[in-house]
Amino acid sequence: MSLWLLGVSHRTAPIEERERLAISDAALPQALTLLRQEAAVREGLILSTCNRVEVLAASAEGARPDLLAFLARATGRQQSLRPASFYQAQDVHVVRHLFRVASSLDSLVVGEPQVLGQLKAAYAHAQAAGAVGPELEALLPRAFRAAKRVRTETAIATQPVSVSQAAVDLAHQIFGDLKGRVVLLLGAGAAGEAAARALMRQGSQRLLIMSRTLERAAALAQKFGGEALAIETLPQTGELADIVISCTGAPQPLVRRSDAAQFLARRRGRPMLFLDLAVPRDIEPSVHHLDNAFVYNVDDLDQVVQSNLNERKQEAEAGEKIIEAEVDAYLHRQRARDAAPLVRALQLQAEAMRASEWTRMRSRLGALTAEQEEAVDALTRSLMNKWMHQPMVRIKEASGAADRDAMLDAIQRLFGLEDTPKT
Amino acid sequence: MYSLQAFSLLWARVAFGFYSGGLAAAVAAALLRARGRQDAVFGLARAAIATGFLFQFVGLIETTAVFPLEPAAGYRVIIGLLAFVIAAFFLMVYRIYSPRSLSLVVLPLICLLAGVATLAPASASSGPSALAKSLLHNGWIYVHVGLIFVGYAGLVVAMASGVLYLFAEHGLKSKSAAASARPLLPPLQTLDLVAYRSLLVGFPLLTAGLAIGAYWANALFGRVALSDPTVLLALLAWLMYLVLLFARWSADWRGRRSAYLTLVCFGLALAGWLANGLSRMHSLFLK
Repeated sequence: MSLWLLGVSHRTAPIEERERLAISDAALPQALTLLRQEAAVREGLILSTCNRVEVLAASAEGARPDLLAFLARATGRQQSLRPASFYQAQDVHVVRHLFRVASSLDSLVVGEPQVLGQLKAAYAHAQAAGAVGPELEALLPRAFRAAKRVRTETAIATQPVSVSQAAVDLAHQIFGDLKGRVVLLLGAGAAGEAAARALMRQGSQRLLIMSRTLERAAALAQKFGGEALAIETLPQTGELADIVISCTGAPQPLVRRSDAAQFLARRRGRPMLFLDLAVPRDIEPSVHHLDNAFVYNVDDLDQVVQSNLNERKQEAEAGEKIIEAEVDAYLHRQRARDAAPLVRALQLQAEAMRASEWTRMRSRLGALTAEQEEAVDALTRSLMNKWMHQPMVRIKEASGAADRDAMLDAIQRLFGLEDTPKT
Repeated sequence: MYSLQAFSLLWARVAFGFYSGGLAAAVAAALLRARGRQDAVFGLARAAIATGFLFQFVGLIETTAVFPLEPAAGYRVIIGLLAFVIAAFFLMVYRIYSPRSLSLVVLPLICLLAGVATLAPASASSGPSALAKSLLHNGWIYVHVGLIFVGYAGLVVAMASGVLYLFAEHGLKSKSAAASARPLLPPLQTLDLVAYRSLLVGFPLLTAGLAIGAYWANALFGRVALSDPTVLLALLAWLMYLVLLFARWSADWRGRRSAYLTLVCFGLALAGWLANGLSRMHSLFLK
């Protein structure tokens, strides 16, 4: 069997082109059916995410499917496909690429967790469409295994790499479990909304929203399921919040050191995290010097993100080593599996010889008791197994060797099994 | 042929080995960057501590069998008992809050105590005085020591939480370590809570232990000698313990300030312990 891959990703094509090629979940079954009808394709899988569209196919040895033509038909873009945007791979390179994709080493944000889930979903779709056979059944679980190893054996996914994630991570460092925490959103900036949404997803219990106008706050509160409050009530209600996210366009700070000191006093010293995403800043920087108050502005969060991105790149190198080891392990298993027909043929040949000789000799031996027949049968079987043991071991060893084809050829010729496929 | 005493020492040494292995695993875990591996190695450290604890328990049972109400094993047994109580307290806290990196501060202390208890030869005491014997047979001395040790264990765990709190808080305040510290250090509020609850458990027991000690000192010597360094430092540590809790209740001292006060309190308790050798009352039992 041969493996083939054709794809576009954020590395090779702009978003406009990827958009045109994207295949939605709803359209996948039909596309997979089309893929299976493609000449030479025996098994197939389609991965379509916002960052990549890839078609993976298994074919008979040497038969090359035209995946570009398939993609053109599946997406109805026969005219507008730019072959230069595509990358292609075959056999071992497909395996390596798939393992890297699953492990998020090929992602726009290295270490992001979504792609593994997307690949699992693509595999499930392919299984449901009947497009998965022994080749992909062996390959995909190994890709998931490689991804798990990279995730657990390196620190690739440990640190946050977006401002929202960094905000959630900081909140975890201070409060631990975020269940029951109160988040106060000051202003209606997109970054603030994203951070608030991320915190609420982590289990924060209550979201208070203050904006320049109560109407605006009410609209946001309705959108997020929070409570709208007038911004004028901030001095009286600020202490309710464990986490304050601020992104107003106010020219002066909204929370001064004296305000924050009062909040903390009324909170009996329980800590507060201020995420100041506004420029100019909404939280007076000196608030950070108060006990149990932690102020992080946009630059601080960006710095955390940048440092984590650099760290992920370093960890990716360790991930690449794991991928190489997993690719080798996969190939070794595949070769061992590929040698199975030859092993079986050799066993059948030997058994046929044994049975024929035993039948021939039996008439010459005259009448034998059942015990004697059994003893002779066991003797010949045992001799055959012992005789065949070394060749079997050698075939299995040869299947993983660099000069595999030459060795398997020699074994086939030696035993007169030239008609047996090596794979 | 091995005596029961030799076996109790053997178990204590095995326990020390496991505690040391636990410490080595905890340090190795702290150096790992991959979260999955770090969790697994911290799990190993915890298992090693629990195993060491069990061996120490067996050793202490055998020691009691060899020396029923007899302090002839002296300092070795007392120090081993303190290590045992701290390990028990720590395992309990670990079970509730899982503050993995707390082991990096508590374990060296447990190892030190367990090691000293194991390596120091049993004192060839000529036997306790008639006065000490009467106290020992009375049994209250064991309640006194037991209660004070649990109080100390609470203080040790609170001190360890305080140290980690100061590291974590420094990381967050300086903003430099914010990204890298997280996998290792527990959240600030967890550390603060562990310290506070450890103090809450330890304080009444330490108070009761000191009260019993004061009562028997009064019965033995006719007075409680404040000039005795152990007594004086224990009293100061207790007062600081009280100030610490009071400051938290009345002045809302949490976090950094509370951590600093805990360190002072621990320092006084440690000084009191080290001063045992200079104490006339306590050297009666600790030969």
